[in-house]
Amino acid sequence: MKEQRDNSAPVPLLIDGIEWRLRDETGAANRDSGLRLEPGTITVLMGPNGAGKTTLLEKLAGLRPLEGLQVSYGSETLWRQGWTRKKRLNERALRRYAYASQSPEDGLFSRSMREELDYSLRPYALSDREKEERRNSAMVAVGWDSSWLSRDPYQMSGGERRRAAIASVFVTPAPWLFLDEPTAGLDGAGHETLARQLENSKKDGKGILLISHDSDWALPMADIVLLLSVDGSLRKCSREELLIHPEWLEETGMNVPEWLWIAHLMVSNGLSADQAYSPAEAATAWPGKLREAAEAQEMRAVERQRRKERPKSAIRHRLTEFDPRSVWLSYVLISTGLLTLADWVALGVGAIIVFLLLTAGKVSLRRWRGLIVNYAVFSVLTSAIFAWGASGGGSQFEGEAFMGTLFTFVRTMLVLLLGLAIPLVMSPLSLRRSLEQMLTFKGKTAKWVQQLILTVTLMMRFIPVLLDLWERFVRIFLARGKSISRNPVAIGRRLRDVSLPFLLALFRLGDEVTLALESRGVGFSGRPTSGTRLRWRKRDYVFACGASALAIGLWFFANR
Amino acid sequence: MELQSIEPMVLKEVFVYGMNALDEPSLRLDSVSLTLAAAEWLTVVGVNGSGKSTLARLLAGLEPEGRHGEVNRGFAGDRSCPIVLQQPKSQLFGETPREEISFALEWRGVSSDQISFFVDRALYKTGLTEVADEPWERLSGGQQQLAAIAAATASDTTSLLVLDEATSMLDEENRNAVKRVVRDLYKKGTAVVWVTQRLDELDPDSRVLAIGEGRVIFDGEVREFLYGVSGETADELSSLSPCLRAGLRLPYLPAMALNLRRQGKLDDPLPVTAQEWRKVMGNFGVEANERAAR
Repeated sequence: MKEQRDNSAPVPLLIDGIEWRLRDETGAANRDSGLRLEPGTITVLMGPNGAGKTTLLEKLAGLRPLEGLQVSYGSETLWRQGWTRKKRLNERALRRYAYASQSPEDGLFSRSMREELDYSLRPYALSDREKEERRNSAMVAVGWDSSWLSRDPYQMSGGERRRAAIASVFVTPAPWLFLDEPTAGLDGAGHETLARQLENSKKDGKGILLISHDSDWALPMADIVLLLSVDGSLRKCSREELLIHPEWLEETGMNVPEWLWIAHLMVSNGLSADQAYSPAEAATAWPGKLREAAEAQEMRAVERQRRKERPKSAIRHRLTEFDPRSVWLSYVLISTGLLTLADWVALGVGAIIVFLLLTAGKVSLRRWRGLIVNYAVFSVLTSAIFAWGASGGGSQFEGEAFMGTLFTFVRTMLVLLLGLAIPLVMSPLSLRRSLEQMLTFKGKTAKWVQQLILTVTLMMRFIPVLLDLWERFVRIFLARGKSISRNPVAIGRRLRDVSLPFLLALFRLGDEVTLALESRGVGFSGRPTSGTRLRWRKRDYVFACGASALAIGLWFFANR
Repeated sequence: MELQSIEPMVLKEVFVYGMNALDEPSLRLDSVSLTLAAAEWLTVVGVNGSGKSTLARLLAGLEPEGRHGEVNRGFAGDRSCPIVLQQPKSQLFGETPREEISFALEWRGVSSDQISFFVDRALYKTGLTEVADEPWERLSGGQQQLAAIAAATASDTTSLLVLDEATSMLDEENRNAVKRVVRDLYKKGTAVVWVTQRLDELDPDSRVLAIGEGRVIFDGEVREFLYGVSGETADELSSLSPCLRAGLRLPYLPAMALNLRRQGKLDDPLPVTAQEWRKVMGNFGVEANERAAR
C-alpha cells in the first residue's frame, strides 16, 4: 500500500548536469545543476529542429543513456548503480511518469480498449476497484463513456486511435506526464479536450512536460517555458516573460511565430499577458496605442543576421574513399584466408587480425551488438546440443564435439564481423554500382540482375531504418511496461507486445517506400542509366594487394 | 519527350474504397470532384484520416486500388508525378543528396553524360550544393526533404509536384526553406498540390481545398476558408468558418480576427498574411491616436 501511494504522490522532477539559466541571465550565469520542475505545473519545452527536444524527453524517461545528465523523481534517481557497478534503470522511478511519444497510437497493440488500459496499469499494484476507477476517469478524460472500453483500437479511425493512446497515458497514477507532439494531426475538438484534461491533471497535482509545434495551443496553459538551444542549453522562464521577450525564441535558433509577435505588440501596449494569450479576450481589450510595429520588424531582421550557423564537421569514413570493388575484393580475399584456419591458435591470430582491421578502419560494430550477441549465444547453444547428440543420446557431454562445432561457428563469426562492417563504411548506392559493374558483360546487364541488385541494395539501405523503427517500439513499450526484468519470460512477453505494432509500422513503411520508388520512376523505363563509372586508382590496387598478402599469410599460417 | 498538354486535370465524382487495418472495407474518398489547372497551386487541408493523403496520391498519379469515377489527368500526363512524403527516411534511397539525385535520374533514363550536369543543377536549385556529399545524419530534416524534392524534380520540367505533409515534422525555418524552393518551381510553371494540416502555412492568394471524412467540404480562397463570407449571418461564428466545419482548429490570429469583426472593431477583408496584420495593427494605432487627439 505504501509503495502504491509513493507511485502517485506528487514529486518534483530534478535535473542536474544540463546547462541552464533563468530568464534574462546572460550566458555567464550558466548553472549546470539544480533545475527543478514542480508538481502541479505545466511545462512547455520549445526549441528548433535538431536541438534535441525529443531526445531530452527520452532521457528524462530513461529511454536513452543520460550522457552526463542526472535525473531524479523526488528521492528516486532514474539510474542506479547496481552491485555489478553497472548502471541499471530504477523501476520505481520509471513508475513516476507516463509517456506519450510522437504518434503514440502506433504503439497500440491490444484488441480492446480495456486491455490497452490494463497494460498501462500493470506496473502499478492497484486493487480491482482502483483500476476500475482509473479506467473510468481515463475514458472521461478523452471524452468517451465506458461503452468504448470494449472497442477494438484497430477498428478506430486515426483520430480515435490517438485518443485511445492518450487515454492509456492518463490512466496511470504516475505523478508526471510527458507528451511529445500530442496534438499533431488532431482535430479542433481534440485540441480542446486535451487542453482541458491537462489543466485537470495539473489541478490534481500532476506535473506535465509537453513538446508541441502548436505554440498558440500550448503556450497559453504553460506555467514554465523551457527553451532548448541547438547547443543543448536551456532557458527557463514563464509564459508572461516569453511574451515580453519573444526574441529569446530567436536566440535558440527558432523563428518567432507571427501570432506571438502580435500578442507581444499588444502586451507592449498595455494588455495583460493573460488577455494577450486568449484571442477572444485580446479582441475585447483591443484598443490601445500600438507604436512598435516597425521597430519590432527591424529588430527581427537584426536578430536573424546575428544568428549563428550550426557547427558542421564533416568527416566521412575513410574506407568510402576507396573503390567499392576493391573493398569487396579485399573482403572476399581475407574471408577466404580466415576460412582456411584449422586450429584454435591460428583462429586466435585470425581474431587478432580482424580486431586490428576493425580498429585500424575505425569501424564501430555497436550498431550490430544485438545481432552479434544473439549469434554468439546461438553458437554456444547449438554446439552444446550437438555435443549431447554426438554422445549418442547418452548423458555424456562430448567435449571434443562441442569444441569442434564451436570452432566452425567462431570462424564464421570472424568473417561475419568483417562483413558487418561493410554496410557501415559503404553506401548502398556505391555498392549497387560496384555490383552492377562487376556483373555487366559487354556493356549489358541482364534484367533479372538489375532487379536483384536493386533489391539487395534497397534491403541494405533499409536495415538501419528497420533497426530505428524496432528501437522506437522498444522504447514505447519500456515507457509503458516499466519493466527492466531480464528473465526469459519477461523478454518473451515484451517481444510479443512489440511485434504487432512493429509489423504494422513496417507495412506502412513498405507502402510508402513503394510509392516513393514509383514516383521516382523506378520500374518505368526498363533499365536505368549509370551516372558515374567507378575507376580503380592506385590506392585501390594497394588496398587489394594488402588484402591478398594478408590472405596468403593466413593460409601459410594455417598450413604451417 | 511527350508534348506538354495544358488541359486541366479533372476528377469527377471519384470514390475510393479501401481497407482498414483489419481488412474491412472503408470509404476513403466520397464523391470527390475537382479541377486542377496547369501551373496552379492547390493547398489541401484536413485532419488525420480525412482522406487527404488518398487524394494526394491519386492526384500524383499513384493509382489507389478500388477507385471508381472519372479521372482525366490532362496536363499532368499519364506517368506518375513526383510526390514528397512526410517521413524522409522512407523516400531516400542514397546516402547523400548527390547520390539521391543521381539515383532518381538514372531511373528516369537520363543519359549518363548528362547526369552530372543535371545533378549539379538540382543541387543548386535547392540550395544543397554545399552539403551535396554529406550523409543524412549531418543534414537537418528540412535539408533531407529538400533532397527528396531535388531528386523528385531533377529530370526535366515537372508539370506537377505533390507534397503530402512534407513539412509537418519541420520547424519554421526548415519549413520556410522547403516552401521557398517549391514556390520557385511554381513560378516556373509547375503545378503544386500542398497537403498540410497546419493552417499557418496558408497563402492568402492560393486556393484551398478542405477535406473531411473523404468529402470536399470547401474549395475556394483562403480568406473565405478562414472567415467565411461576411454578411447578415456574421454572428453565427462556427457555422460560418469552413475551417471549423472541416473540424480543424482555428489558429490564434484568425480566431482573434473573427472576434474583432463580431465586435465591430475590424472590417472585411480580414487580414491573413503577416504584412496585412501589421498594416491593420499600425492603422488601428493611428486611428486610435487620431481619436484620442480629437
